[in-house]
Order: sequence, then C-alpha cells, then structure tokens
Amino acid sequence: MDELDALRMLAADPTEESVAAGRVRLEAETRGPARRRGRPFSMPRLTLFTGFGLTLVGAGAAAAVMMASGTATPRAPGTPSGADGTFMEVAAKADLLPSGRYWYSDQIQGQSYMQRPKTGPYAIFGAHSETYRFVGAQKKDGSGFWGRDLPSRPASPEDEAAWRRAGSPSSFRVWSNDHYYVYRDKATPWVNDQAGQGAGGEFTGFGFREKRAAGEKTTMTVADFAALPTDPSVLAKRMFPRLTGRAALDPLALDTMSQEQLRKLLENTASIPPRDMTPREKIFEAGSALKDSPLPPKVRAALMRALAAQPGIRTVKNTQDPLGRPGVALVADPVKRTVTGEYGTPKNEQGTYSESEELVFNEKTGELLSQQNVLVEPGGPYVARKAGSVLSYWIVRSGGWTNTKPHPPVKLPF
Amino acid sequence: MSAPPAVEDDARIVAASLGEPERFTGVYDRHYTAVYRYVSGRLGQQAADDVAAETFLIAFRRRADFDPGRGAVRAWLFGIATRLVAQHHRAEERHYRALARVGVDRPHGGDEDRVVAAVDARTVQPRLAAALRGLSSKERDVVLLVALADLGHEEIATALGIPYGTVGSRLNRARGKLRAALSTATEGQ
Repeated sequence: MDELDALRMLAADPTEESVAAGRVRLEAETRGPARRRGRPFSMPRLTLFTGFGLTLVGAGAAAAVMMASGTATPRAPGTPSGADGTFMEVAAKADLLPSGRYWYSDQIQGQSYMQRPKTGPYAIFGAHSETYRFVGAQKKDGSGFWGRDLPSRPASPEDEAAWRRAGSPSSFRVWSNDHYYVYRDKATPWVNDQAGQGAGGEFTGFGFREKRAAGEKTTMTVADFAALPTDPSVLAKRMFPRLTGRAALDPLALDTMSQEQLRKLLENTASIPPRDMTPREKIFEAGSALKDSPLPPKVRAALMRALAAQPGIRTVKNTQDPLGRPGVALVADPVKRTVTGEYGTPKNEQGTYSESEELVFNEKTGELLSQQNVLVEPGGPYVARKAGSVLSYWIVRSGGWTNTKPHPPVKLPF
Repeated sequence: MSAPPAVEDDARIVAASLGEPERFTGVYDRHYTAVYRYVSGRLGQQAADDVAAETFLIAFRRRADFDPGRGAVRAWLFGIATRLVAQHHRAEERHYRALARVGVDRPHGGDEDRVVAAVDARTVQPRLAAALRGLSSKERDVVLLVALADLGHEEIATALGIPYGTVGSRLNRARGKLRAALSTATEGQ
C-alpha cells in the first residue's frame, strides 16, 4: 500500500440522509430569488447537518508546523534548578493519581501571531481550540472526541494594551504557514467528531516510535499499560531509543531539505546515520505519552524521572502554565529555527530565532499542565518579542480517570 | 462511486440550468458522492454534509460563469470544494488530530479484504493524519485531489488555477513528505 492508497481510505461515502438533505438545499436554491430572504427549508432538519461547517470562520495553523510561525506572551521566568531533587519530589506525586472507569483529556491548543498595526505591534493567540476526548476502560464504555474554536485573544497584558490602542479589533489577519487567515474573538459550540466515536478499551500507545515507523499497531489496552516497566532506566530505553533508518531523519532538517535531497535519502535509508533522540524530541515523545495515554501512576512517575535525567533537559522551578497555574518545568535545550520565503511568507515573518520546548507540571499533584514552545533568542518574526514569550501551547485543562461518563465543559477556559 | 459522467453532458446541463434552474440538480446527482468523499476525507463526515452541499449551492449561484472551454464541470466543482475546505482549515486540522489519535473505526465485514483494510486503517491512518498536518495546505490540496477525487494533473491545474507544472512539483513534494513522515515520528501532536 503506498501513500495514495492510504489517503484513499480517509474518504467515506455519504449517507442517504446526507444526499437527500443536500439535494433539498439545492432544490430550494433553484426555486428562485425569494428563497434567499426567507427560510428556504425547515431549519430543524438543517441543523442536523450543521457540523464544524458553516459556523466556523477563518482558518488555522497546522499544529505540526506550529514552530514555524507565531509570536509570544511571557511566561513566568522561573528559577533554574541545578539539582533535580525538586523534580523527583514532583514525580513522586504522580505516583498517587487515581484510576476509574473512563479516561479523559481536555486540551487547549493555541498559537501566537504577530499583529503589526501603525499604533504598535502586539501578539495574539489564534488557531485557538479546545478538544475533549474520552476512552472507556472497557470496550462497552465507548469513546468520544469533541472540538470547538476558542476566541482569539491578546497574548499578555502588554499586548492587550497595544490591542486597545489599535481600536480593540475583533478580528485578526495573520500569516500562518502559507496563507493569511482571519481569526476572530468568538467561540463556536462543541462539535462531536464522528472520527472519535467508537469502542472503548483501546488507547493511544506509548513510546512506539519504532512500531510507528514499521506500521504496526500502536494502540494499547489498560492491561498493556499495567505491564509497562516502572524502572525509569528501563522505561527510558523504550521511550528514547537510538534512531535508525527513516526514523533517524531529523524532522527539523526536513523543514529546509530540498525535494532532491529528501528523495536521495529515502532511496537509501541505510545511508541515514543512526543517532540518539534530541532533547527536544524526548520532550515531544514524553509529552505525547503524558497527554494522550492513561499511564498508570507508577509508569507516569517513572517516565517523569527518566525524562528529567536525560542530557539536554533541565528543571525550571516557580514557573506557570498559560492558564496561570503554578508549576515546575522540564525544558529542552533550545534549537535554532529559520523561516524562509518559501510558500510566499512575507518578509516580516521571515528570519531566524531560537526556541525551546518544555513541559510544565503541577508541583502538588505531578500532573502535566502544559506543553509549550518558548522563545529563547528573539529574531525573525519574533524580533519584537521578549525572550520567554510563549509561541504556542498545548494545555491539559483537566484529565485523568473518572467514574462518571465524561462530557466537555460549557465554560470557556479563558 | 459511479463511473465519471460524460463531460459534454455536464456542460450541457449547466448551460440548460441558466434557463431552467432546477436542471442543475442533474449536476448534483452526478457528482455529489465524489465531492462528498473528497470533503469527508479532509474534514470528516459531519462537516462534509454541510460543505459538500454548500459546494453545489455556490456552483449553482455561479453557473453563469462556468466556461466549458476552460475545463470540465468536475474540475470546476472540486475547485469550489477546495476553496470551501480552505475556509474550514481548523476543522480539517482538528479532524486529522482526531484521526491521529484514534484511527478510523470501520465495521469489519466477513470478507477478508475488508478486515485487512480495517487493520491497515487502524495502524496507518493515525500516522497518515499526523503526516497530513505537516504538509502545507497547497500541497494537501494537490495530493488529496489526486487521492480522494481522482483528478488528473490537468484537471487539478484547472480546479486550483495553477500551472500544470506546479501540480506535478507540489504532488511530488507532498508524496515525498508523506512517505518520509509515515515512517518518522511527527512533532506537535
């Protein structure tokens, strides 16, 4: 199966209701101009078919390219911590988290963008959304996935002041990857994505880089998680393996690699030198597991200990997540990023800066609060931002095991 | 999916619908399923109900602008659908994110091929969805028009209003990135 065959499997045939409903709308449209003023067809029926579709405005950044654009809000600077004793105490707390019938995760994704009006530049968070997922421990308990757009907002009090000077606009035109998009200050209702509905009992797997690369099954059951090692060094070997073949391609290098270079490498993957994972990759790998997998408390604690012990990862105390919750962070060594003019990126969004990826934990419970990307050396699109500004975030608003059937919250997080 | 309908007939229906608007439902009947499949692959089924229907409403309103000299009705429709998908970029992103987490649950039939396909879907699709998020939207437009809509290069050039050569280069680039990303870990999940 090649990649085009794989893509074909994403398509689904319409239901008879879908075909009929679309035809009713078209027929109403063809009946003449009067239909546009009144209600052309019965609304109750239509609302059945109003999904993410027409209620959404603007567009978003692909999260995979999040690091390639955005601007910033300062996070609390934090205090560097030499010895990792403090973090080990935090990890010990994770050992005490409870279990239940359903596992859920309520997550918020945001990306900061620069606005450059004549009254002075400021940053906003756009591409702002909240996703809510649950998976039952057992097959019969089912699973679900909801999403909604969150209002865009100025990134910090200073940015809010500059936003007011600009006349408090309610929409923001931003450059995102290869397009201008417009983000607004409105939320949309929760929408239940059918792709997320199904049986319970199968969860996002853990530390499966090699399996993913081989195309093997990467979901896990509660029993699989219970069988994971709880020794940090054993877990580290599984979580952060030495990378070989295709897996050793550097995702950051792919950003700038020419098509020809990439083709040559892929024709002879044995020519790609094996390498260890970078600190940044380890943060991503561990962050995904902590956000998306129901790790048993002892495994979670062991993973946190293993991550904290990796070279190129340091502890920063007294920081906070974008929701203002206090925490302690594990921070990867920074990397340099360059945004080029490819895809028509405007001049003021191009250039070089450096950023680092970090995980913020609740000091009292050991829970992951947020994974965020933080500006280290301003430059390029972020030349006007301060070091320490958050460029993008992936917040765990709440999550874990519960015995009550989970449902997304009505209240907005900000 | 039925065989692609004759191009001349499509164009004639569109022309006839200028005088008799209800004739345009003929275009709908011929192409709705194909447009729906394309949109559902990008936005998920719930959003596809709306966006596929909207594609035909827009096409109907603009039917006077359709120029058969510049390409087939099919390419024109997919161009409209692609522009609508672009307006739902966040839904697309979220759909891939949902797929990247859970894969697609399809009913297993007794037929062995379908079981194999379902197993493949569960293992490949999360990685594929993650990889799609790593493409630019221009690359996604081209590779998904090929894979989901079965359009040829010429039709894609018409649909997107880009040069023929650009279709090929974007397609190569997108396929290369998908192949690479299918076998390397993706960031940003």
